[in-house]
Amino acid sequence: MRARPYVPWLWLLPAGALLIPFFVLPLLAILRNSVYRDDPTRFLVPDLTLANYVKVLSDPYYLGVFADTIGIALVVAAAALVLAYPFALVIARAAARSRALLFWVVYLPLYVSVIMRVFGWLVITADSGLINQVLLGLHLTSRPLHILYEVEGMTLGILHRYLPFMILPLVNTLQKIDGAVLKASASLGAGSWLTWRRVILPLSLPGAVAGTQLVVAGVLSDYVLPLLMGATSFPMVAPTIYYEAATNAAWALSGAMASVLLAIVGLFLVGANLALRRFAPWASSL
Amino acid sequence: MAPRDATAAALDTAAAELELQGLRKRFGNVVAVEACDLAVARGEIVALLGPSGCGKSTLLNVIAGFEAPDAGTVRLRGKLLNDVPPHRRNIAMVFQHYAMFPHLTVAENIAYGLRARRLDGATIRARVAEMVALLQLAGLEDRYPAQLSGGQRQRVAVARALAVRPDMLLLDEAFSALDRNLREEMQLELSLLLRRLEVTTIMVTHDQREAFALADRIAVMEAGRIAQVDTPERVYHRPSNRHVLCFLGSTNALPASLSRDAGGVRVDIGAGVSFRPVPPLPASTETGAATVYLRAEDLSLARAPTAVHIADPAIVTLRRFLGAQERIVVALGERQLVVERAAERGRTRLEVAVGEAVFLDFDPARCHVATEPR
Repeated sequence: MRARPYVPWLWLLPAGALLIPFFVLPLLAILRNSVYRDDPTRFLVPDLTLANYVKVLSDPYYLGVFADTIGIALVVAAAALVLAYPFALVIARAAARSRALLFWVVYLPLYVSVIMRVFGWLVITADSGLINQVLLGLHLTSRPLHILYEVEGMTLGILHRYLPFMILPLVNTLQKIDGAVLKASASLGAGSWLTWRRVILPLSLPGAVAGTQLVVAGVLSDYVLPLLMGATSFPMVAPTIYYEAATNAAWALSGAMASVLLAIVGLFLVGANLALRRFAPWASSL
Repeated sequence: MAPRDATAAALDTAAAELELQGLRKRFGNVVAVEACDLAVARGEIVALLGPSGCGKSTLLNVIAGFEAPDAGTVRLRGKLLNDVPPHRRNIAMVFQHYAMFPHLTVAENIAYGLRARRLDGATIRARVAEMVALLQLAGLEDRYPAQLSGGQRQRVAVARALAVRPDMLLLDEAFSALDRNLREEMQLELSLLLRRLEVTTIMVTHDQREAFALADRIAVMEAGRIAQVDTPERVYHRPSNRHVLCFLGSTNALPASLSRDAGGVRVDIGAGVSFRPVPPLPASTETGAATVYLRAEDLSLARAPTAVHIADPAIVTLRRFLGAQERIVVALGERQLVVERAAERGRTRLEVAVGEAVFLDFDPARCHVATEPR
């Protein structure tokens, strides 16, 4: 039994065999590239320099791309919170059978390829799509609204893609709330609004934070939806990184952008955890 | 069966703090509560006692307002509560697993109901301090429930409930999550506290020791109905039916036969045990199959034949030490009888060993004879 402590580490081997060569090493290469220099004639030149970071963090264009992407992430997370809370409450309180059905509704989009989902949105939001046909048919508008390939349409698509990641952690925390605690609240004189505000909302905070972390991290690094549904006048970070690397062959600059994005995501996740610990100190002792 | 003495503990219902009339609650086809009447006086502690599934928790939930009755009325101080939502009843409840608010500290838990009542900060602080002192929670005010022991959590649950000065307190199996020593300590402490504060209380329990330890009166429930409401002594010694009799204490139920002779009706348990019931059964009693109920502590053992046991001794088959008591199982012919007696060695007590022959002795007045087969 002496060898026992080593066994759990061995279990990591299959995943490690995949992740180390195909994730960790490329990531290290990106970090390395970010301190090299792009050279029009010699591709990457191994001069150690922070010039790429200076450019990313001072050039108004790149700063704007980051700011816009963060803005979209926050808007999507906020909208997802508002949409997910009532839905999650219904799931958490539903009887077993309707709960399974509602879960199916949440999961269904995840079973379908993101490309297929985007095509669905095209059918609905295109200039000749469902929404515009209805609006035109009802004479609510005389010209089709431009939704697709605009910020609005893209945000809608992104929101749809990430909504399940907000709903599921919320359902998880809401389901864990003991029914007797809600009864206790009522027996102590709190009506349903007060019980919601002083018991359900704070107790579901860990789920809301986890959902926000998943959604924000996902949106910040989303590539497909901005590419397929976004506007060229509103570049997002991930497609911009790809563009710099693939079209401009600026591997060092794109490496710096990727590193900054990674740092932003990391800081957000850590910051959210610290905020949770600060505002819900009880959650870690449960 | 002893006749039910309804007048002795009956309340003048006009003075009743809580009055339940004709309550009925069904879940689908399952009857949870049926025809329940109960009147509780101000400051009184009443226990709803019964096995699980007897409807006692449903009855408590109807009083608290968490379940709406299908029929009947709940009145508190004369006011009809049927349509009053739980949070407006001013009835506080202590839950089985305490239902602490895990995100609130001890002080915040206690203050919860006071904040819901929009009391001002100074009043809330004073009331919380009062409850902290009353339930000896000093030093724990800023802890979260997860950092408390089971006993401390229960104190917080009681403090939280009493802080709102409820018209009535409900205890739902409030001690069952504690281990035995702590449970008895808390029962004693709470019993004294509730009497001192004169809090009208209904407690639900399946544990008769708990009901005896706290309650002024016990309502024994059976299949959704209240079988008997009376003082602990009366429900124990003068049970209204064999369900109550068998539920309280350990009771031997023995098939018997009734016969009639010159002296009146005689009860025969077989194997040489027979006696004349006290008080005598009426001469009109039908003879034939019957059942005798006899509590384990009412049986004693003798080396020689006794007034009730003249032939064929019983054989000791098991002897168990239970601390203050010992339990002896004897075989009387085909039947097993349980005998309980003080474990300490007394001068008058017969020492027995497994395999020994003994004669049974008991006071016929302690027997309950039912004139139907079991």
